Amino acid sequence: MMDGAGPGAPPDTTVVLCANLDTLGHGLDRSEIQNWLHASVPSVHVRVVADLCRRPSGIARAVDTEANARLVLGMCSGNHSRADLQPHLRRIGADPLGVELVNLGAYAVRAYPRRQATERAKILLAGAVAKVQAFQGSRPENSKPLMPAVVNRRSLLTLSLLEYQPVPAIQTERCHVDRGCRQCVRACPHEALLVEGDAIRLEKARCTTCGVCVTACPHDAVDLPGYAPAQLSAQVAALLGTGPADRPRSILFICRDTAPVLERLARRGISCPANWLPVEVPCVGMVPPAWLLGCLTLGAAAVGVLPCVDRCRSGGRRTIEEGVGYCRALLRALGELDDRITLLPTDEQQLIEALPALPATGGAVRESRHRRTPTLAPPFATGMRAQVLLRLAEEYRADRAFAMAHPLSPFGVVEISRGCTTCGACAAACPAGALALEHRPEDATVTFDAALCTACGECVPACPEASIVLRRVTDLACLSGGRVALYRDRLARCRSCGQPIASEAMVKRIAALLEGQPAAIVGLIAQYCADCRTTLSPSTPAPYTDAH
Amino acid sequence: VVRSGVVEIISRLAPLRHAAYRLFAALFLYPDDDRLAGVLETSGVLRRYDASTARLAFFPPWQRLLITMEHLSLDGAAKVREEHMRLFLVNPVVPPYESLYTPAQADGGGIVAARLTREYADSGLALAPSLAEPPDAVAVELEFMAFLTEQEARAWSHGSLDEAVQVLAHEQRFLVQHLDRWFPALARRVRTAAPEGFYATVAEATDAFVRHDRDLVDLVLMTVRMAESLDGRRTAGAAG
Repeated sequence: MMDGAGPGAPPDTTVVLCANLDTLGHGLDRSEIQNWLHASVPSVHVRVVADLCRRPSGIARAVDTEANARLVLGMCSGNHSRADLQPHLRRIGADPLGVELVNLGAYAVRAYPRRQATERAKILLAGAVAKVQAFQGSRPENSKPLMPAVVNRRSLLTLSLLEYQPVPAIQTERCHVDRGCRQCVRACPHEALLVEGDAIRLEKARCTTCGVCVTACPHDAVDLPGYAPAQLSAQVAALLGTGPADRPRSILFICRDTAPVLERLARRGISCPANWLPVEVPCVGMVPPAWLLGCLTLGAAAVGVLPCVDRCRSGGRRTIEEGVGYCRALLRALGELDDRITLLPTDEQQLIEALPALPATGGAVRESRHRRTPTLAPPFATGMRAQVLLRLAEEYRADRAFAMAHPLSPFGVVEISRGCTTCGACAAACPAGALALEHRPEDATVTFDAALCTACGECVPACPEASIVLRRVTDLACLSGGRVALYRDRLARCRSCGQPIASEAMVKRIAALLEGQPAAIVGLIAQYCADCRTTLSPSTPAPYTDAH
Repeated sequence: VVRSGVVEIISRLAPLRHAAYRLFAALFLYPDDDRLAGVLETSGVLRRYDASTARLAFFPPWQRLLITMEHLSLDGAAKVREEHMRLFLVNPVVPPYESLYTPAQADGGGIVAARLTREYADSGLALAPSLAEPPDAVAVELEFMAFLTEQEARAWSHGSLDEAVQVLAHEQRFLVQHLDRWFPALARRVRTAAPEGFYATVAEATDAFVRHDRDLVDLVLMTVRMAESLDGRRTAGAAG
């Protein structure tokens, strides 16, 4: 395999197509796909392997061995054994957790006429290529071994021992657990994340790879190969932006566990309109409102979400209902049709009706909003939440004073009502770094950046003076206003050395708490710093000694 | 069915795990000529099993290690010795002893070593005086895991499931309390101190292997226990 074109060029990627795709369903034009990928997608090589889905050993002959090989496999179905496939990938130097398998059978060939199937296959493969090119590699912590679902004679003879699924791992250098952040631990529906000392540990046996912790982390410190925000951003951007801008495209987030249901329906010819492009996630509960809105800013005509058809193990259904509810309320408030974001039914019979009924093209409003040139860099990163919203508001020409209160708003605005002593407890409790305590020579200031606030509410109970109010509101002025001072207080200085003691409000508060104590003690504490209190002349009362 | 499948799988893996632990243990000892020759020979043999080891997630760093050893020249051997001295022996950049990776308040140096000595003694083992390594040296802990996996392999070959499960539980305890707890930190330090060196490859492969082994042992014990409780329920159901 050749190296990439140069520095900054996307890594070389091989797309391997199963030759059987030609004869499946309505078939597709494989040579057109090959030519188009060569011409349109940078750094891509295309190979075709006979019977790839049943004999994955063919990959070794099609792909030159090279460390860090990026691979996309175009498969006939999703019914393949990971335990059979993964060893072949490892032997050619590919990381199995970074290889993208595209079920072209279900998502292109089986349910669409040849022409449409070919077009869909091109776009889906381009999306998968972008996704694997954004893959940052996996670590040993990211693999969870599983016993094969079926242990039969063949698996024993071929030593198909174990299969592996990706699990999240914490990037310790980014994690704020040492500063009290517990967002991932609280978000995990399976209690699989535990705090151990200054680290978060994953109990792999409990983890179902739902991915909820990935988007709960305000610091992008949870690493889940295959479902990293940067990878999914790249995939969605490519799905929406690759190829001719002939008609609006829409994104359908699909729960991984529902993929077999879609495959079954596709075999019966039931599917969504051809301009709806699937993005599989481990659980739709991991998809935050910012991702749904982010798709719109990348040019999606609409966004759909398809939760588990079976009972959701992760409680993702409720989470995504809330997220969709918030997004739809926001779109309405911005003057848009709220059906640009849709939640599909989980009942299979209802799904059979709902899938083909998804709007093939948008209404007049959607057409006018439709954009094909994404200008926002990876919008799924946690730090991009506010920018996504501001971009959307800009597209809708929303008033800068626009504000929408919503009980489930993922954005919040913190206010300090009264009694703040600038103790900094709120800043210490804030996991996202939205609240901070800044010291300057003359004063101490509590500052707030609404763009970072996740409305988690940790600051409210942390305040000893009950001075914090959190409003769950999406407020454009606050989101675009940067960091602002919420409360500022002058520093009281030591009468002896001039060093700061605490803020004046804090000193007053302590004096009030010491009401009834000897005035000398109160005076000492209120007027001298900790160092000077201990070094004052012996005649000065020493309130902290045993003798006193 | 589940139980027999799991037994078949894990019993096949035990000899490989034993060989890997022995190899890693030897790699962390001073690489004199004899030891290096032995290690190279072993790695050559293990390389023949690539088709099988590729089925396990630690294969990529494992393969990198075996290939590195395959290409080790005489000149390379001298460099390896030099690197070993610098990293682990003389005023070591990365001291390979568990006590130094344990929070001071919990240990103070001797407690870990004392616990390990007792642990080895309970298994009928004592440190050979010729080894000149303390009980918490990485090589000694890896060698102890090699011992346990050998016991396990023997139990499987005798068809003694209960004994094998007992040994597996011991392996799990040892990994949780010792190797898996501190080896990742040692591996990180080696990779930082000499990212391009031979021992970065060794540390990476050992780290991947130890983490995998912990996951594997957890998985097997969980599966066996689930199967046992299923069997128990079936028996109770049949009796009822």
